[in-house]
Amino acid sequence: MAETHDKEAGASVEPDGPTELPQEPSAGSNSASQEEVGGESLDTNSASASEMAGGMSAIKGEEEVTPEGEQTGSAGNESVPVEAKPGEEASTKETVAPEEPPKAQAQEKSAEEASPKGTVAPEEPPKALPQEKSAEEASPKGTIAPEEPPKALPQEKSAEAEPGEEVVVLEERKPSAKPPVSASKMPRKTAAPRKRPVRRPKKVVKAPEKEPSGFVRDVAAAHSEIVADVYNRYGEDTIVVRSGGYHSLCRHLRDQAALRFDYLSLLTGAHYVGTEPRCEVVLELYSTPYNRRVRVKVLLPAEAPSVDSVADLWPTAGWQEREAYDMLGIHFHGHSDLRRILLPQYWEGHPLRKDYPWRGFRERSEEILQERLAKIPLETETKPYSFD
Amino acid sequence: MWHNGDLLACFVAFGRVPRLDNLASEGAVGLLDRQFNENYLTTRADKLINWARKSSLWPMTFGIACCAIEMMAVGAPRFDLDRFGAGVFRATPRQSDVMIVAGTVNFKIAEVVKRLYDQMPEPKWVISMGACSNAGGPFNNYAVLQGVDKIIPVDIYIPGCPPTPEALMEGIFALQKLIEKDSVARQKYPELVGQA
Repeated sequence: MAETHDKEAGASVEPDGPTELPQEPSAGSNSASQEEVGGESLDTNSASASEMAGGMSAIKGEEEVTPEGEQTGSAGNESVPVEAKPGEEASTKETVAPEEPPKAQAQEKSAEEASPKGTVAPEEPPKALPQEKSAEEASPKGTIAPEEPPKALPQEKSAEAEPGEEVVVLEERKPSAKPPVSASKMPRKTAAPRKRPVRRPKKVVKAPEKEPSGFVRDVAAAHSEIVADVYNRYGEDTIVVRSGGYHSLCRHLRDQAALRFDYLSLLTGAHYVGTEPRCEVVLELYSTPYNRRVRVKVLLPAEAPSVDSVADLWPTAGWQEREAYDMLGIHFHGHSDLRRILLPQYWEGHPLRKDYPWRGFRERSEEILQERLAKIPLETETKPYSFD
Repeated sequence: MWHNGDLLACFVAFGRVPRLDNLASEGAVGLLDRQFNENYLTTRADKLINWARKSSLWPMTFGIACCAIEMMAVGAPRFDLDRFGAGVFRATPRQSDVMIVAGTVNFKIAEVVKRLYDQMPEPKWVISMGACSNAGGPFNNYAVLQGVDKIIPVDIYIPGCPPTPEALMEGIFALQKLIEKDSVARQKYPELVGQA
């Protein structure tokens, strides 16, 4: 795989590659021979990719190469560096411009180092070479501009060599600028994995708790045998009760001269996973004379939950209890007309219970529907015309 | 007497009948001017009947969900379905020709939809408007029927969530084209005509 990749990369760089190859005699020949050997065992897709890249040096083609190049590149790194490094060093010493020539012969190694300069690759911590460091600094600029290599080049050189020489080299390189980008892009992804934003653990905000209001404490004291808990969170008074004397507590809340909770703004149910009393009935009460609110929660067992109906205290509870029954299967004793209110009467199950499947039993529902439709009498039957 | 719906219908037009010149310009009717004592128009009975049917589609006032808002917009002056003869929304199935199923059909309303469809007199057509009545839409859950075509035959499906008023109009045009192809004889005696 390593050699094959060399081959590809060589192919991709080709248009300019051959011109540069002669510059480095030893390393270039080595790698070339290896490339020949492995050339046959190219993956089909990588080969095609290399062709594409070789054919058109346009940036598009290069980008398409990158995914395959990336895969092979990781494997290729093992063998290549041996030959690549000397060549690279040699090139840096010989020529003024350090990174371009090495790319042509030993693409992977040089490319890895070149890439950060040329393209995005902002984080390349492992490499200690001075070039890279300069490249790191250069990278942010490089990311934006399409012609990265020329931009990045001067900075590397500034790190190593005198300014006068760089300029000259730059002009020379310009035509060959594009293919190196392709080579450099391949390892880019391996070198610079995409950073994900760090997620900090969410702060657990504890509900601001206060002392419950006086009237709530009075009510709790009066019904201490059924009141399980009394608290005030977010400024909302809540009385948690067991189902036993719940109706008498409600009557107390409504009829006491000091309380007068004459308006039931909401009655609903809840079904939980994990907590022991799995079902709940929740009442939101409002006292119009005193402008006060209180919440009453009734804890219920999951199996056949049932409570007294409060529809006799607040008539509006009638339909809301029907809804709680329909959706959660909570039975309300004393309710005059406890039927389903949302779903059709023939429905089986209570969809808002946590053990109800998300899609329900739709096949069964459709069967039932078709059966029922078949029973609808056809009211319009037209007789065929007679023309005689 | 009855030739496969190719009956030659001859009738006399006394004076000016505005819609008939329309017919002539459409090529549906040949005008034999001054060949006889009065003006004669000849056409096929199917063409005439279909022309009448497609030009006076009376939809049923039956919106189930948010698509109905768009349907109302189509009926209102901005889009003005009356231009195409389909703006007379009837409040009873017994007077309507086309049912626009505009909205989510859940199991509870499905029976009503079916019953209303049954109450419409023949010939009748159904337009399924929007993703919900086409195939359940976003409501892939326990309560929603996945497509109104499970209970009634649908002629035209209009995609969209909801479809724009233009889309509904396009659907009505498509239905009109469908009606044009129909044959009176084929409807009543398919075995006489054969499948076309």
